[in-house]
Amino acid sequence: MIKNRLLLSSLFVVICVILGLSVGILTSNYYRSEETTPAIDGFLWPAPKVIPPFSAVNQDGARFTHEDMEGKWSLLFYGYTHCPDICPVTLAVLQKFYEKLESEANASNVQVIFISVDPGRDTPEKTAEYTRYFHKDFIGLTGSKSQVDQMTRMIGIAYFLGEKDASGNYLVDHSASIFLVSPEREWIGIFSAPHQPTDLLQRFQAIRSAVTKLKQ
Amino acid sequence: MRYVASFFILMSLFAPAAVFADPAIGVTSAWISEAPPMLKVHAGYLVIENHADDDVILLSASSNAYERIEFHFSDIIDGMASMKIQESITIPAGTRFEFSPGGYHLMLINNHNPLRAGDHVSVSLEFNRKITIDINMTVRKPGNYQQQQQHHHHKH
Ligand SMILES: [Cu+2]
Repeated sequence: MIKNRLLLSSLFVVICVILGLSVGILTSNYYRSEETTPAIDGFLWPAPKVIPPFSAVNQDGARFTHEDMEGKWSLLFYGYTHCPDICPVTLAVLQKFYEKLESEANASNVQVIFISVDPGRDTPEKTAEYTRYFHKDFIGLTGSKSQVDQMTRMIGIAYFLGEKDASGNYLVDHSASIFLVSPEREWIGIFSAPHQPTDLLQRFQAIRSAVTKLKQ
Repeated sequence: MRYVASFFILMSLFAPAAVFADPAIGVTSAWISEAPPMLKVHAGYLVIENHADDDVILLSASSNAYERIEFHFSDIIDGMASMKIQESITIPAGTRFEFSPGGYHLMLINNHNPLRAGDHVSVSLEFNRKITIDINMTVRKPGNYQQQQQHHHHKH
């Protein structure tokens, strides 16, 4: 009788320990997976792609390379200055995004980069006028066709030049997304159109703090 | 014979009268997105309301301030943006049609004079049934879709 009761209670203890352990293991796994892949729309993690070396010409006519992306969070948008709808709408969103960061004194390690996919028309001077219209800090990249191709290939996006009309105008098909590159040059985020400044800011800040935590 | 002739005379008197504003079509929220001075193509936005019992078709637009005006649709497919020319815009009976950032826009090509926020541009919209509506578009700073939606500028 006593023997039986002892057996029963020890069995009970063993079951409790097993249950407790499995709950512990399960929840710890759960928390770990929460930590490694936070659910942020557009967050490219784990194993983000590292931006390969490239060179381009910035809005001042100076050389801009992959090294200029190191130590800063970069937001890239590919477009062309003769684009009257999608590009100004997107740059206006980036302008509001950047001004909000500035007002929080949080913009010093953030750079907004407009990359022209129309090097035939977008000289550094024109690109400068275009980007400065939206913000004096915005970077505008252009270059030879092969330099532009290098910059579209590093993200894996395409662009198409349309046919010229009677007055020599043409349209360009281009990506409508905004791409986020970390200070370690990792392509870490993609934000799809349509863009809204507050949504962009929230997702950017969520990704930035998640990455900072993950790399501690 | 005389009856037929007087009919045509009568018709010719009525035809030009039909060119002026039609109460069945209303235009609101007409504005042009300001662009850096070097940029000679602008996007214009407006809302057209068709109060009539028949569909109306917007056939063309013109302005003294621009070389020409096209109708475009910004399409985004798999993340790629492209502008597609629309020959005309049909506004079904009793509906409203919105030209708005990131969607349909008037593509205003080659402005003759610089345009800054606050300027006004008069644009002529030609519809079927010989309806022409002259609208006054205000040049404004570019902004995002939501913000523009909050403003409601009525036809001047
Ligand atoms: Cu267009």
